This record gives sequence, structure tokens and C-alpha cells, in this order.
Amino acid sequence: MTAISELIQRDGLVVVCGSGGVGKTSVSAALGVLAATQTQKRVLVLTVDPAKRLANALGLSALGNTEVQISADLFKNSKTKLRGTLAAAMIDTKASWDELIIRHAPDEATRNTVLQNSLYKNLTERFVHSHDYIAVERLYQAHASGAYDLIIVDTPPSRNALTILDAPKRMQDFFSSRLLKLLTPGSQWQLLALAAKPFYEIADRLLGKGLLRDVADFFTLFRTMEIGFVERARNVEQLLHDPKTSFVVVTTLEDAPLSEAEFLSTALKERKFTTSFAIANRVIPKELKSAALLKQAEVLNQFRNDAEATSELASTLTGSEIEIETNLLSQTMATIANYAQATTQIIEHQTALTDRVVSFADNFASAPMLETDIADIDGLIALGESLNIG
Amino acid sequence: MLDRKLLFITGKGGVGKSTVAASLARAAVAQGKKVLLCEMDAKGALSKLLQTTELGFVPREISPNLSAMTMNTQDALREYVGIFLKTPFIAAIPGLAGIFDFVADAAPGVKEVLVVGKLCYEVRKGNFDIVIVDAESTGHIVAQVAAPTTLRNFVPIGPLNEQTLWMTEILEDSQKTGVVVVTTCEEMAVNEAIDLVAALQSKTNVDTAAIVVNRVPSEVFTKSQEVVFAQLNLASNKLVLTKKAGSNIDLALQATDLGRARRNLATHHISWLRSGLAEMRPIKDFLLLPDFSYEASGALVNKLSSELEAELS
Repeated sequence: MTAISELIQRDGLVVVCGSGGVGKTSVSAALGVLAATQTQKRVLVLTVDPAKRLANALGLSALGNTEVQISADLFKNSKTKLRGTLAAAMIDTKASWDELIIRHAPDEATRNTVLQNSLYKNLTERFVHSHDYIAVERLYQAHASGAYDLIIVDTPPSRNALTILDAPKRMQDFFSSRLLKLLTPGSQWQLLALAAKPFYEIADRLLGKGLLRDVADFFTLFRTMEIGFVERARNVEQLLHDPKTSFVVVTTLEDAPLSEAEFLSTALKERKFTTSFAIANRVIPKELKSAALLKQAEVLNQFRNDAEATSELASTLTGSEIEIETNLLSQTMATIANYAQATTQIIEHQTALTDRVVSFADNFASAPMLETDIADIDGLIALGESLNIG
Repeated sequence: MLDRKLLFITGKGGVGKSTVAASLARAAVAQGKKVLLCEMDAKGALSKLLQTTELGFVPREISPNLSAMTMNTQDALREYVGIFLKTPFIAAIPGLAGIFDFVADAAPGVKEVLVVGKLCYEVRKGNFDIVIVDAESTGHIVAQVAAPTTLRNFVPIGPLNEQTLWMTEILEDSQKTGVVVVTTCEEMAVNEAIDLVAALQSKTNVDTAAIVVNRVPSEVFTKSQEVVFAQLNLASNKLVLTKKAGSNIDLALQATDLGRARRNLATHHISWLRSGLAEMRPIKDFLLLPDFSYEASGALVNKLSSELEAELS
């Protein structure tokens, strides 16, 4: 077992994945803050779609695709100070695609035709899991720039978290698919066009006239960018498999997200990615222990059932101008006892699930259930520190 | 909302769409309806929730009056070709499925129309009183329900175009079709729900049937109990109690406080949701479902469906 502190000591990349709604974005941001406050590294957090308050916490209110340095001023009221530097950026899929087209297009005419094509927008939104591809592409870009020692990327929500790992491969496969070659005229385009003819006819009957032809025309343009795209996708894939890239799987201690985390973790191992951590988020605070809670619940129930004792306590309670009725005090104590008992059930459930997390993960860290949403840098510092402790 | 013929259950990932869809289906069965429950993303969450074996494209009755299926674009294509083009042999041509996938990935609305078409077809056939769809998450649902219209604009002529007309008639009839937006009382989920309702109302003619707030923690104290709780938390009073009871109750107080904090945060997000929705066209049902997230899957659906039955009756 290693601690989170070791993860942030390493230079490299951290890919944070897990099911939707488990707090991936907060965990990513907190890891970034922890790294930039505990080490002198240049840290970047790439995030997909942060909650407004979390974005504000990072000072990210009004930015898009560009990386923004987080000012040390943000830490001025905190005990913890920046030692390294911290940058953050959101991943804007559409803008990133435009950048890719601009980079890979062989000439200005192709570039403009692609960018203005009506299929293009639809394509960038959905084709070959483009959000996933863009996330890893951005990770590669940031890495290749050499401007950062540690890059943490928060993965986009997807049906299956594995799609992100397969995205570079899929991009390469797409360009080498026979179908694409069949549909788009290459060097021997006349022959191919002839072979494609029956397909066009069937497609016209099924889909409507000309639709497939329009699509083919678009991909003909797109294929002019093949070399650039394929090489890039290959580099991105290599980077994901680099030992410097580690994967962190975040989960809450609930059945569905945990099953997803288990599945993901197994798949990561099978594919020989470097998995570093499983993080259990929103865990009942450690100081709440079942045995003690049950005992206190019993003490409360015994006390409140003793009418005389309760009445005596009611009359001695200070801090209110209104006199407390014995009955009301007794009811309140009953509720507290109930909560103490209910919490033990949650603890037991969480403990059982924690065992599952520990069994599939080499390293394990947890963060407590928070009483409020993270709204400022102190919230991120606190989350990072609790991850660091365990 | 269960009087409609077609319900799409959607929301941000992780809010419990499948659970709510399964529970709504059970509640509809309890009202005496014949129900088809359809999972869109083939993740298998539904079969697990319903404690049954893997689902297929062909609806299977898993308990009396409750059938379930999982959506599959290729099967939907095959069925579409067979039924509407009356030329089933075409579907068998090798490579066609691949071509279709390729085009469907790029052309707006093709895949969605097939999928939505299958659902509308089940409604039209009338084998079920209601079709409940465990739909895809917020990012995709607007495109899905608007797909027939999108496609009509994109492909002005052809068989797909003609087929979209009757689908639109079903989808845009608020007596027949509705979207149920599920959220939890968390910031991100609530914001997505507000944005989604706005998009549904501005970009489609499909009615939003209900908002379901899932996993709402229950209220801890009445107002007068709150006062007493605050007093018990005062150091001086704690000392008195510890002395009288023979043990401190600090952890019990802390556990209760955690419950209070969760409840307060939830209330805050629910009022934010209400104020966001207040600016839009009114939505008929606004349901709050209690937090059962620590129940095992099977028990969860049972508890939620009885909760829904009570709320909807």
C-alpha cells in the first residue's frame, strides 16, 4: 500500500475515472491542489464539466479550452499555500476538434470545407466517442508541451468508462477501415466507386436519396487528414500505456458505482494499464464508530424513558429563554438515538463495501462525506488532505 | 403520468434513472397495467435491479404484466427494414449493417430515429398499456426525442422521412408521451435537470411529464426539536447530560448533525431546482423520493415503487 502523497510526488499523468456522480471532478481538483501545495511541481488539472461552484473554487468561472494559472491570491486566506504552480482548464470538445482539424488539414480549402460542413458538428459531438478521444488528446497535448510536471485529467461521463482507453485505437481503426476506403475514392477511386455503387443504391432505398453520398463526400475530405490523425492517435495510445500514466478509480460506497469501479479496475489490469488507486468518496467520518454509537443510542433511550431524569434535565438545560417541555426533550433524544442507530447501519454497509474496494485495488484512499458542497479553495484543500491521510 | 403510453426516464448519470424506471414500471403494474420496460444503453443495470437474467431485443415477460427488453440499433434496423420496406432479404446482405452503422454515426438523427421508431412502434402495436424507457442521460435525450423532426429536415425525401411522421405524432402528443427528468438533490444534477427541461421545452415539442427528485434525505427534527438539539450541543449542557446519564453522547450528536447537514443541503438544492423551473412552462408532477440508497438492489425497487404508487394515486 502506498499513500496518495506518493502518487502526487511522481511526475507524470493521472487519469481519474469512475461512474457518474461519484465526485470525480472534485477529487481531481483536490488532487491537483494537494500536489501544488505539497510539492513544487507545475500541476495541471484538466476537467470536463465542473459544477459552477467548484469551477469558481478554482477561479475558473469564465474560461473555455485554454489553460489558466490559478493565482496564489486564491490561497491568501488559507493556512496552506501554493508551493508549486496550479493551472486548470476545461475540455471543450467542439473547440478541441476545430483545433485538430486546423492542425491536420493539408490546406486551407480543406480546412474551411470541413469546418463548415453540416455533418461536421454532428460528427464532433458523437462520432467515435469523440469526447473520450478529445480528453486523451488534450492530455497528450498538455504533456507534449512540457509545461507541466503532473497532469490530472478528469474523464468525461460515458456509458462505459473503458471507451476512453479505447478511443485512440478506435480513431486509428476508423481510418484503416475497409468501409471508409470503400466509401471514399482513393487512388483507384473509379474502381472503388463502381464497387460502392450497389451499396449506395441500397442505402438510398433505406435512408433516403443522397444521404450516404453526402456522408461519403464528407469522409473523403476527412481522409485527407489521415496521416496526421493516425500518428497522433498512436502517440496518445502510447502515452496512456506509459508507466508514468496512472489511473485512479473513484467510487462511492454504494452498489452500482462500486460494481462499475470493480469492472473498470479489472479491465485496466487486463489491459496492463498502471492502476494506482481506488478512492472511496463520501465515507462516513472515521470517528463515528458503530459500537460507540450503539452504546450512546442506548444511553439516550434509557435516559429519555426515565421521566423523572428527563424532566430534571429539561429544567436544568441552559441556552434558551423558553422552558423545555419534558416530552419535547424526550422526543428529541429519541431522534438522536435513532440517527445514531441508523448511522451504524450505514457504517456497516460501507464497511462491507470498503472490503470489496480493498480487494480489487492495490492502493486505497478515502474521503469523508462532506456537510456542504465544495465552494472554495479551502474545501479542495480539506478534501485533498483527507485523501492524503487515508 | 402513468396514463401516458410512452415515458422516457432521463437525468444525469448516477441519479438513479434505472431504479426510477424500474420502480415506475412496478407501480404501473400495480395499477393493473401491462408494461414494457426498455433499457437503452445495454449496460445490464435493469436486469440486475429486477433480479432477472440478461435482457434481449425481444420483450420478455419477467413477472406478470411486466415485460422488459434492451435496445439494440442493429436489431432495430433489421426490424425496420423488415416491417416498413417489406424487403427483409436486404437486411441479410453482408456488410449492410456495417455501412449502416457508419452512416448512422455521422448523419444526424438516423440512429435515434431507429431507436425511437422501435419504441413508437411498440406504442402503435398496442400490446402494452405503457412503454417505460430507461433512457440515455441528459446529453442525449433531446436529440433522441427530436430525432424524427431533425431527420425530416436533413433528408427531405425517402422512406425514412415518411416513417418519421407518425412517430412525431406519438411523440408530440402530451396525452401519449412524456419525459420524466430524474435528479438527486446535488448541485450538478439539479443544474443539469434545469438545463434539460429548458432544452426540452425550447428545442422539442415533447412534453416534460414529471420531475423526480431521487434520494431526498428525510427531515431530522421539527422546529421545536431543533431548539432542543441546539441546546444539547452547548458545552455546559453536554456536561450536565454526561454526568446524569453516565456517558457522553457526542458521537450520537455528531451522527445526527451529519443527517441534518445532508438534509439542509438537499433542501437548498431542491429550492434552487424549484426556482429554476418556475421560469419555465409548468410541469404536472414534482415528486420527491426518499433516500433508500443503502438498500440492496431488489429491496430498493420494491420500496421506491410503493412510494411512487402512493405519490401517484
